[in-house]
Amino acid sequence: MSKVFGFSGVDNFCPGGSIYACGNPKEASLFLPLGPQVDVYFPPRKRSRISAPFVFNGEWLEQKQKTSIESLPDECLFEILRRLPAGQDRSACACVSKRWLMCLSNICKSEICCNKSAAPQSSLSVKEGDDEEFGGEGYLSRSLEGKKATDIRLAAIAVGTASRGGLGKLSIRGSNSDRVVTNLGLKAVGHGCPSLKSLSLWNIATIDDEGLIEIANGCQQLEKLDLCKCPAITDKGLIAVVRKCPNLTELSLESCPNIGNECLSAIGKSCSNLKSIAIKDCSSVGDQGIACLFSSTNLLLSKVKLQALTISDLSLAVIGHYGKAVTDLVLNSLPNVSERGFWVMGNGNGLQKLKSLTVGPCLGLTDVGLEAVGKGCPNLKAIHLRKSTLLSDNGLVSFVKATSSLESLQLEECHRISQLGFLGVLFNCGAILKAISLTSCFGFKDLNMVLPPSSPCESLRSLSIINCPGFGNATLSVLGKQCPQLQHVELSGLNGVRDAGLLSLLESNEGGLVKVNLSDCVNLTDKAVSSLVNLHGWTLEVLNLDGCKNVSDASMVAIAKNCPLLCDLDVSKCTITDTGIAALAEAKQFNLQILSLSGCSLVSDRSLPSLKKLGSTLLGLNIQHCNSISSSTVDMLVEQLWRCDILS
Amino acid sequence: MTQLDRLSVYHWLNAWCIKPVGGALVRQEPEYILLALMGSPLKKIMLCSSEKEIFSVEEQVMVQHSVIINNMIEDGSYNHEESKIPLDCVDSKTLKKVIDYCTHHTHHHNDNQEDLEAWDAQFLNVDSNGLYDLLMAANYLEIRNLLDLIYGTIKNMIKGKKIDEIRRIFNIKDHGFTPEEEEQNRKEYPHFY
Repeated sequence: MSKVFGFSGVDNFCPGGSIYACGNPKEASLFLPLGPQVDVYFPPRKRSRISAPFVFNGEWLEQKQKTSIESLPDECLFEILRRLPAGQDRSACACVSKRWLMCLSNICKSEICCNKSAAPQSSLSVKEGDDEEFGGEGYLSRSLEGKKATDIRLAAIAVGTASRGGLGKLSIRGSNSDRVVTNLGLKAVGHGCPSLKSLSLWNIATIDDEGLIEIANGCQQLEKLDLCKCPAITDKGLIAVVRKCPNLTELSLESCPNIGNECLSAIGKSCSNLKSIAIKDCSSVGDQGIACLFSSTNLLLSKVKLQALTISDLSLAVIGHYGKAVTDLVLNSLPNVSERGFWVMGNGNGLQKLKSLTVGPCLGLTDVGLEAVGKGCPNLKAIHLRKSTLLSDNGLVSFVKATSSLESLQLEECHRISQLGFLGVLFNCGAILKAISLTSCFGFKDLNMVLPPSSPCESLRSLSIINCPGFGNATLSVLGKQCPQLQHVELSGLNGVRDAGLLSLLESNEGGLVKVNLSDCVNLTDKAVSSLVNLHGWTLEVLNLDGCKNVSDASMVAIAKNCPLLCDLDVSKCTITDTGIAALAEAKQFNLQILSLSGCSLVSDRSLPSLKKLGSTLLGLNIQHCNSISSSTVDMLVEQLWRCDILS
Repeated sequence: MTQLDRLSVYHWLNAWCIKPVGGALVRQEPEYILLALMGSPLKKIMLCSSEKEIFSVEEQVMVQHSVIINNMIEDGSYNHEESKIPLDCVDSKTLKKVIDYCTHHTHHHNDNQEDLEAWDAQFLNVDSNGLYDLLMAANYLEIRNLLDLIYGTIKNMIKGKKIDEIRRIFNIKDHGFTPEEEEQNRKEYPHFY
């Protein structure tokens, strides 16, 4: 066109030509923020001649504004960025702009080309961290929650950790905000974090199979996967992970309604390293899936947790028959499982290695079922039964008789159990039972019983009775005689326990108590505590009197005199005053590490010197709700006891 | 002989650059060997820029470097006698430079590496607009070695610079991050700013 107009002068006086130097003029990202040049084809314009003294500088007259790199299409930006080796430069580029970050996050390891230039100093430049191993060993772990869980943050993490040791553990907790994690973010993680070992995704409704497939393709060293409340993920995504990540050892699925039997059968076929599986509240999982999972020959699960599923007796039968490697089994809230299921599980003779069994609210757990389980699991060491409302005393006793290796028994809210059953357990447990724990079993009634003489249970070391209102002095004294070797006693929230009962327990004890927890036993007084420390002070290490209102300074004096080994003392809400604290401080050889005085409103600023003296060995001090201690005292304490963690 | 055969023979000769003459092996320019073998003058093709300016260039030069032009000639859509190849995305200035590059690299193929690199450095001594135009042209015409060269140059412009500098050099006005994200980046990588 310039020739038509008959200009004389240099061509670049009036630069013409298309702004859009690439093929697609419609691409929105290419629209430059320029004024008059909005046309696709920009014809050269007639410019008026300006006489000297102006110097004709081509740049000054240039019509185009300085174009930016933003006008380049994505593939060009990709090509430029992929030539940057992993290292500082990539992390810097990730912060330049959002477009650069997303572009960088799409580059995977195989696409980076390290430009080995022919320059003779190439060996020196490599040392500057240019050629750092991409993805590293996976030392770093990151956690995103709530508003911070966005795609951009994930992309930044993926790019940033690649050169600083690699991301090993990632956990994302979604939220209901506007900016959420989508498949794009997971794609960035898949490309940038090949050393990812543990991934945990909770409450993210916006990711689906595509995202999980990207992770499967990129993070093939994945060992742990945890999905909770991800409704858009189906079998397809999980099967991809299972097939491509041979090191998968732990899988946990919760509230994912679209994951079902197909995925479990794929796991059965392909995962040879899976050891632990936990499935909760996944409505599509049924007997067929569980059957495929357990009956496969190359999969040896050791930890199994099945909760809130619609599986039936068939699954339990399969587990009972095929669960040869199962060591820990948890069955919670299985409404369709009946007595027959447990009976078949016990009689399947497959659970030879089962060490720990936990059964939650299952109506199927009856006396017959439990006995069968007891017979069928010769190595069962620990059992925890929650809300087994149909279990009676007889059932419990026959179970204990049937097992030969039970070490720990825990019953929670089993309201048909009474002290007959409890004592039956003690009589029949053999010499192996070490720990018994009863929580909230309302079936207990304190009856005065005359019992036949029997050999005491020498092996029981730990006794824990929490919140069983019927438990009282009579039972306690029988307990004392029956279990002379107790070391750990926990009697919490028992109003029926009084000094006399505790005294009889203490007197019968031959071994020496080490940990005593008498919290919320409001009817205990100083007399009991004094006897406790007199008889067992030489072994006592932990003493908890939280909520025992009738305990006062006299106990503190006794404790100070008799307990050289005491390291953890909790006297919250007791009627302790400054005198008591002073008495504690006077103790010789006292090595107290944790002291809790929360709620002791009678302790005031005058205890400051005693606390300071105690503080020489203290590691933790709790003075919350001590209303008489002023904040200046607290500040002084914080300043002087710098080794101690003070809660106030 | 079809175009493809001529091209492969050309490459082969180029690689070896030898011709047996009376029992001895003599280095020859590949064009002359080709002439001797084919007996026809080297064909020229016409390239038309967006400003409708026509550039005439040896077919072998463009075919060797540009995949697009090679494909066009191979599939026979280009008629030597009449047609021109219209390149509406490339302006004259850029096209001239591209042709310059291809011609130099074809003719000076056997030069040593240092000389070629020096010429390349001189060639790319243009402002950023010119560089992007060259990049677009090379991308459109799919000239691999020119693309690699330009990408490498841009990459070196990025290397080692701080983020504010990079934004200035490349004229990135809007970085697209929210204020919180920008804040987070500054906290995490203070030495980059």
